[in-house]
Amino acid sequence: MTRIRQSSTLRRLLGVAILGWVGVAGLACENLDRYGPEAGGMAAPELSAVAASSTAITLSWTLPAGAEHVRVLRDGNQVDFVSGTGLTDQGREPASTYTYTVIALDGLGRSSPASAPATATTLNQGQSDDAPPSVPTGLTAVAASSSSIALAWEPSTDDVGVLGYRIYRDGAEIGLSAGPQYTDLGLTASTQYTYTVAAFDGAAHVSAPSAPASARTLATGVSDTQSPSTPLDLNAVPASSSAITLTWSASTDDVGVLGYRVYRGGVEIGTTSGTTFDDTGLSPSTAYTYTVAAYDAANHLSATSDPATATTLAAGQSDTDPPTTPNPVVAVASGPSGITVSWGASTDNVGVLGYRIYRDGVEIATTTLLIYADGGLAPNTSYTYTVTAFDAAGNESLPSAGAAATTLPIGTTDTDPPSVPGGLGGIATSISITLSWNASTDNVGVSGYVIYRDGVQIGTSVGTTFSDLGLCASESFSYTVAARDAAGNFSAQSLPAVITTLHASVSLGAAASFGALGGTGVSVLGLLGSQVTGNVGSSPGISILGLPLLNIIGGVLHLADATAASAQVDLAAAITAATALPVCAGHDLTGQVLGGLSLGAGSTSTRRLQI
Amino acid sequence: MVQGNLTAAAASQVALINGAQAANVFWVVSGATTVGAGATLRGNVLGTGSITLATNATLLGRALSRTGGVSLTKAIAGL
Repeated sequence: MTRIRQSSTLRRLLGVAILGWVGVAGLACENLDRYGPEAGGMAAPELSAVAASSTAITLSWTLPAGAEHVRVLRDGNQVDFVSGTGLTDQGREPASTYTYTVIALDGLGRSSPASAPATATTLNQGQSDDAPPSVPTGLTAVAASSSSIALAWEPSTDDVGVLGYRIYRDGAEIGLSAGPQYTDLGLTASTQYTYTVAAFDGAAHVSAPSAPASARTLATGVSDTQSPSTPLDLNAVPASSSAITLTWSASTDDVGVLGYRVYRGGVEIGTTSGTTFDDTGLSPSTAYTYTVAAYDAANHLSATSDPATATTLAAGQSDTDPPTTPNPVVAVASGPSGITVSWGASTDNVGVLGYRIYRDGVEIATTTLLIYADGGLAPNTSYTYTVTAFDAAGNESLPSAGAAATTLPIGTTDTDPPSVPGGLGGIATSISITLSWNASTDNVGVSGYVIYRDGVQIGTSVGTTFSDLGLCASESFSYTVAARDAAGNFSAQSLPAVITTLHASVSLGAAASFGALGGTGVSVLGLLGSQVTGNVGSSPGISILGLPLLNIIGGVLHLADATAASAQVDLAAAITAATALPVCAGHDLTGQVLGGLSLGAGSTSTRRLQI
Repeated sequence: MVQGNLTAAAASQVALINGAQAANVFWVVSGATTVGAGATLRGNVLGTGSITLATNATLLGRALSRTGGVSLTKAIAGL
């Protein structure tokens, strides 16, 4: 035992001596193993690098447990060997880019894995960094165990670059983090701690501290065993030709949700402590599909959300049009302290990202849903709500008309359901059915309606109409509607209304008079024997062959004349209209052998074939 | 809707049953349409590419092409 210790000490002294020599000489140091084997348990340091001036770059790193020193490499060459968690690399060239890595060494001279490389570019000659980073927002603190609390926040921004974050517990600085997360270890069980974080840049500017966030460590022997609930209502809307904004509804957890992982095409692209995420640097006119999962401080990950897809705007295109104003808006008391606000969906030329809810003129919430439950109100008091819609480019609609409601008197509950909706009917096209019904009544107020098709809920409506879109032609559907109030009381479902979509039809217009119409010409081969019923023509091309041999019945020739031209215009419109018809479920014949196939008798809907 | 070419093999038949009418059937073809020798196709062809009716082929419907030619070899087209 004693011998081993002496041997280790010797190795450590030798290692330091060699390192010191290399550092002074500034020699290249390619073989990382020559200073000792990698320490089995030591993690790689996390490194960040940001310009401090036109001639200096500041580095900051996290020391893994057990680390005593750090070797600093610039563009692959060792430039320093230090203790501590940062240094400023002086004497650089202006406007030049340098790449750094750091390797931690423990007391025995054993190396950690190298950090991920960090790249920074010095400022231009005469330029300086004068502004501190923005204040970190969205700080979330969640207990990870009886002795640790995990923190996450939204990244700060800086005119040059954010180097890292300082973490404060109950007002005292306790550590540094390169990224927007930190885990505080060694805490006392069942104890409340309050945290703030501040961002700093390469020029040693420190932002103001964030708003505080508190968490209470778990009791001794208690651990967080449950995963957060799956994020719902994921919505993806393009903000520009290179950015898409995501929003979703918050998950819940038995201890607390620390943040969300965001995936694009199944690959994680970032995390956030909030319920929105901006994905930038995308290609124009490209569709991207996203999912989101929630995680807690004990590293439990929820199931991933349902996917949401958005297509970036075309290059050079921007969105300056606000969404339409939400209408109608209904506010109904749910009890002595709550009012439920619901509204009809807005539309937008690009896409509605969400809604802002205002109580007596003051913004109180945003949501992606069409309903908001306001709580903590005074009993028997009237409040007025307005709602606006906003898109991903930041355009906000005009405010809706105000909707007022009075909370119930204290001690009152509403157990009476609304009356059953009557007069249900609908108007059909070949692809949609628009329902309408008579308003229900309620002792407090009707907050909305639930619509069922063939017994399955298909949507909700604030008003007394609902459009069921994307239906198959010539099919019958049975609808019912139920009314609900804000206290969760539902009426019985209405009498059913059975409505049939219209036959799908394609109008050929002027092309209907033609039996044969070409775009480049008409050819008749094989001498006599060809026959066309109806007009024969071509537009704009008139490459004709053997036309005198053609037997035309009930028509004449139209070669590049006005009749043929207008037939081509109507043919193009007919192809566009036919292509736009929905292909109903089970009617996609892509990949099927068509020989011997019998398509559903009596149905006139569209089939899609891919050959 | 046919994404690609539509080819009715030689001597093949597309039959309409239960009272369906050729005038109400539309073959929307993004590529070329060929009705093989002796074959019978029922319905209107709304083609982007060329429409070829081979020897003794029958199209019980209109042969309408946006950007291609219509070619008949001892063939019959129209309603």
